Amino acid sequence: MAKLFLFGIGGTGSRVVRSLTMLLASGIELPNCQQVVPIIIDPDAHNADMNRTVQLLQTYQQIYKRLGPREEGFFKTDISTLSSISQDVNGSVKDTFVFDFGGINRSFRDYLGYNSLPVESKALVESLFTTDNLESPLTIGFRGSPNVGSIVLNKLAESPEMRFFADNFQQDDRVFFVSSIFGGTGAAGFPLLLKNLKDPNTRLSNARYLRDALTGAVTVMPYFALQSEDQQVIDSNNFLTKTKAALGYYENHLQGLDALYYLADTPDTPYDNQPGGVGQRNKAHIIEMLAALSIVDFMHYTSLELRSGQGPLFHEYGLEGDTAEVQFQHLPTETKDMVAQHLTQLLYFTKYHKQHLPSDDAPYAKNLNLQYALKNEPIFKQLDAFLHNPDFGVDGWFNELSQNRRAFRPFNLATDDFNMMINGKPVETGFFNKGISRNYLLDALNTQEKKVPDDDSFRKLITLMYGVTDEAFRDKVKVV
Amino acid sequence: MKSFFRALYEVIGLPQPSSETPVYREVIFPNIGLLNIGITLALLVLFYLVINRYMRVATFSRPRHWALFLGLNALIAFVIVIAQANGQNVESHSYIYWLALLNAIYAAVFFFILSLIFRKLSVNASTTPF
Repeated sequence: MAKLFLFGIGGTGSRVVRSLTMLLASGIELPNCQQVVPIIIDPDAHNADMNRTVQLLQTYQQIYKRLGPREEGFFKTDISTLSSISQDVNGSVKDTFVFDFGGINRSFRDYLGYNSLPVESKALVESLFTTDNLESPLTIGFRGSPNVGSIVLNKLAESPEMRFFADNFQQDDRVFFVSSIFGGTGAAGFPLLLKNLKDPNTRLSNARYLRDALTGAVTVMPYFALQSEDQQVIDSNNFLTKTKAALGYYENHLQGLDALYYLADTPDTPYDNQPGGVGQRNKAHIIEMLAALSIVDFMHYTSLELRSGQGPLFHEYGLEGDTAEVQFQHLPTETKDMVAQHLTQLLYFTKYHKQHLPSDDAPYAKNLNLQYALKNEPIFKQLDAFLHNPDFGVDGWFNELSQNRRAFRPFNLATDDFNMMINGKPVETGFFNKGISRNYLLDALNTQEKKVPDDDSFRKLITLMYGVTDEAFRDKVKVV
Repeated sequence: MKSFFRALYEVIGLPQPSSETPVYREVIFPNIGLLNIGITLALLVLFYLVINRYMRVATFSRPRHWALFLGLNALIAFVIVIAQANGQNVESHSYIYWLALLNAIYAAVFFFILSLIFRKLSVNASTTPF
């Protein structure tokens, strides 16, 4: 069973993994693998972006466990924690999506053992790191300082998680890295991890498989700015300088990559300047969704295609036009074909789940014993959380994407009329054709319910919702 | 057939006034019985098959909509007894109204029993009334 090991490094890594989880929930196909194993690497254990991504992944995992493998549908792809892919005989790897830094609750100075260093080494440390670097607590990450990150993250290769990862790495497995290039954790972590995995002298097991594994990465260049405040340690005016410096390093030191995706955007409204912790909770951004799509794109390539050239395949991305509000028609055809129907189906499902499902008094609902299940069965509550949780749910994700600058606004989220939900593409209606009405959806649910043989009411509901929203899109929306 | 309807409608006693008994037994009972069954079947076909299957209306399938049809069926059954009595020029008597009421009750009972069969043929009302 081929797996994709997905390293989400730093805050951007978490946010891209969040977007990928949403895309996979919508039913987007991830070919050439049966399982995705996200490993989020962020020393900032309280980072709000990371924590809500983890909550989302955990909820997805519970839902997938109940659904199991299927040909198509919402939550089609298996997302598992590292420890769940195999029996961990030592019990040293926690059942979590997050790499365990073991609570590095000390300053960088203490981490280096600065006070016990000889004078010459102290002088070297002082030349490489600012006083602020040395005094900064590692509990909130590296605060945009890759020189700090590169020291701390070097320890990763010796961790039980990495050993467990290598022990369970198999021949057809792939690796993908998600990181930003302008911060601290991502910029330092990506090349370090890559170097350690591809190192011919590595002490990790399955070294040959690791070295030969198809490997891709998306490097997100600056796409947001931060409010300038005198007391803040991260200054977004340095993002471009840091990006240039890191690109200069990448040019000669990235060995073993098969595909590298670059993404960037011109920053507009600056985010609150939160170096880490619970305050770092940025709205979802279209760049993160596109970065998640780079993973999907990478997985579409066969081994032959990825290895046909002399070096890695480099990818950049452009919209059809420079617009502040991106709708489906602004996406290139390939992207539109990949996401438009699935995202629309997910939105229809989310809206129907919220507006109508609890009050549906129809044959399909009665046969599924839906009213009881919604109130009492834990898996239905998990689904409710996945779709509507104000912190990490689908509702919030769509909202955040539409509110950010640049906005991804293919949907009119304010309306309850299914015919008007796709911006710029209302569903045609007439005297005899009410489009995607409540009646239309209810009839489709009742009709399909008779055709779906499944004893599990939850799985049946998900199958029905996918089938009905698919039919609605094909019959009524047709193209966007 | 006539004896069947006679048995069905004489549960409330013999027709009144007794001079009209032959008309009731020979004409009115079979007429209202057949009409009752026919109209009940027609309304069931309309509710379960036409509206809730072929027309693909999914929002007219709730128990209250079914009860509306049941009530309509009973009302029609009540009215056709009076119409039949008037049509056959039987002597006016309170019996006519008792018979109309009985016919309405039968209509409701038929509708209910046959609903349990017809609902299986429907898509959007396959669980109506329960």
